[in-house]
Amino acid sequence: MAESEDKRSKGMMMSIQSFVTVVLLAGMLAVAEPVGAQNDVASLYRASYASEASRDYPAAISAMRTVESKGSTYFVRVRLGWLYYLSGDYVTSAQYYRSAAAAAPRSVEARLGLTLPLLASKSWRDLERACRDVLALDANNAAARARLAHALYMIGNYPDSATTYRALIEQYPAELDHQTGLGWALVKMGKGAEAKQIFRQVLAVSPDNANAKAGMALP
Amino acid sequence: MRWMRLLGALASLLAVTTGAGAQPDPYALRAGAWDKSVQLERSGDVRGARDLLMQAWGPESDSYEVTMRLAYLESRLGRTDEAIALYRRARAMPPAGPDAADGLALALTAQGYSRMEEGDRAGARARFEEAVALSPSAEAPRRGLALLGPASRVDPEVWAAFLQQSVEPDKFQGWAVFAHVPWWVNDRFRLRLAARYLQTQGDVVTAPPDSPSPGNGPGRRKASSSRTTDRQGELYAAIGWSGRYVAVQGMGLALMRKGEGFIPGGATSLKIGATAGLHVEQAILSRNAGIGWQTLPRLYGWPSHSVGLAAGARYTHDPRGRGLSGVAGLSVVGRAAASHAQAHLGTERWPVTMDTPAVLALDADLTAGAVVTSTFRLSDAWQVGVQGQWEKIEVPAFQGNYVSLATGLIWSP
Repeated sequence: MAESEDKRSKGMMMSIQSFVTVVLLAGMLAVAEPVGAQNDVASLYRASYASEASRDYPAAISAMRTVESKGSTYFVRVRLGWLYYLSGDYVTSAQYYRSAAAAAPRSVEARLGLTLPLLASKSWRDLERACRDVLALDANNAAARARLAHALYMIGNYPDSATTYRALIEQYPAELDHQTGLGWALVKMGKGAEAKQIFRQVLAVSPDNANAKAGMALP
Repeated sequence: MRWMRLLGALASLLAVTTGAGAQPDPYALRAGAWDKSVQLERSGDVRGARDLLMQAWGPESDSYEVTMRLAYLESRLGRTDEAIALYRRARAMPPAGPDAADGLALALTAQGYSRMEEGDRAGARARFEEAVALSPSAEAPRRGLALLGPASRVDPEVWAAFLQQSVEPDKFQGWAVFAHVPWWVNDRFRLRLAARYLQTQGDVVTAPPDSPSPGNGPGRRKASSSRTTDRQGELYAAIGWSGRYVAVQGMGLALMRKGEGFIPGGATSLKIGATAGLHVEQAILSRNAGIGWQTLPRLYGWPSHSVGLAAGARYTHDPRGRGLSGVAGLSVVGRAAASHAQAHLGTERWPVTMDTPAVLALDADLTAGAVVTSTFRLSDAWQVGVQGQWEKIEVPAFQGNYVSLATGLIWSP
């Protein structure tokens, strides 16, 4: 009797275990579709990064566009901006960066990203504006200041270019591009003697600096 | 991709329709502005070059180069106040170099010369001294200081004159000596002492007791003459104060005259303006016959650094009546020589002048006349002067002339 009760008891335990197993399996089956989708997006990201690393930018973009089709996030836009920049499609790159900036009004990152395609496409006035947008959020951003100084020089605003380069040189005295940038801005403002002094200082530590050499070659 | 472009187009459209695209870009004017400004200056449009930079950067740019260039352009336009303010601002900027100090020195020097021409010696000296401190090798401010001389100094002068007066048939001639010691206590205050002594001799025709009353009739031909000597001493003491736009002066005078004795008097002058303005002199004389006064308001202007013009009227009121004359003056001033001419047309009596203290004490109406004084620089310290004066004189029913020729030495140690 006791043995049969024990068997019955064990049978009940088995039944309970089976039930739990069935319930768990059913639960797992119920969530199987989202987990699969997550794995799919993760794979797409992995694929995009791998393609980028191998410089297969169209493939990297394609993977991200698939992610985008599932839902466009700030991250997706910034990444697409970056990948389009790498691929040489500066117009689309700028559009994605602008879209990302609109989605995150306090984002320095998206605005700074925008300066890349603008710089590459030599859209100097747009680059100036984009740099000023960055500096409105992050006044001491060195990359934005350097790109702004370059843009100002290129549009013929030599005074502001020189002012910006001077401020950068104070904080980054060993950055030779800032020094040659200042030198050329001074050349354009007719201050050749002062500029040559700067070029001479650059050549003293970087004897093959092409920018400084070109400046020194001026009459 | 298409929807991104569509979004971009929509965003652009929205920006236009909401007016966001119409927002002025404060930096847009700066693109290429420097080169354009240089081109405008080279084509002679200095004002345009200045205006362009001012529009693009505003009056208080944080650019050292723009501030310096604006200062330079303001200086070229003759706006030295603005140039000096901008150069001072540039000097306070981190990249300021010797060019800012040199520019400021140049602007200060230019303003110093302007102040000197306006008679603002203290203002001129302050600017020259600051310019020398900023740019010790600069010649121009040192020359300005040399021209000003020391703040406290004495510039004495002595003159000798030949005089002749004739109202037919009476004739007088004689001589005069004049000494004038102006003492600049400093650039603002000046004290002056002056003295003149003159002596004339002549033949006075006297009519016999039965002759007709004065006239050119036969009676005068019968007249007899007597030789007479007149002497006159004059003393002047004056104190004056000069600012940039205002100068005031007071002068006391005393004449000792044969036959009339002591004649006291006084004069004041007020000058308002700098290179142009109003100069008013008033004088009063107490003679035996009564008190006479006169006023001489003049408008003056210096259209250039070397040419000055003046015009006004002298009104005389004394026991003999009233007199009014129009007065005009012309000055031409160079580094080596200077000439000052003044003429009047109309009646004056005993006209008092203050620049060179004098009273032309002729017992007649002076109905027209002119005086020209020229000085020539012999050295930094010495000048020689010559002066000629002519007056048409009238006594009741008779007319004549008064002429004097003088020469003098001015010493500026």
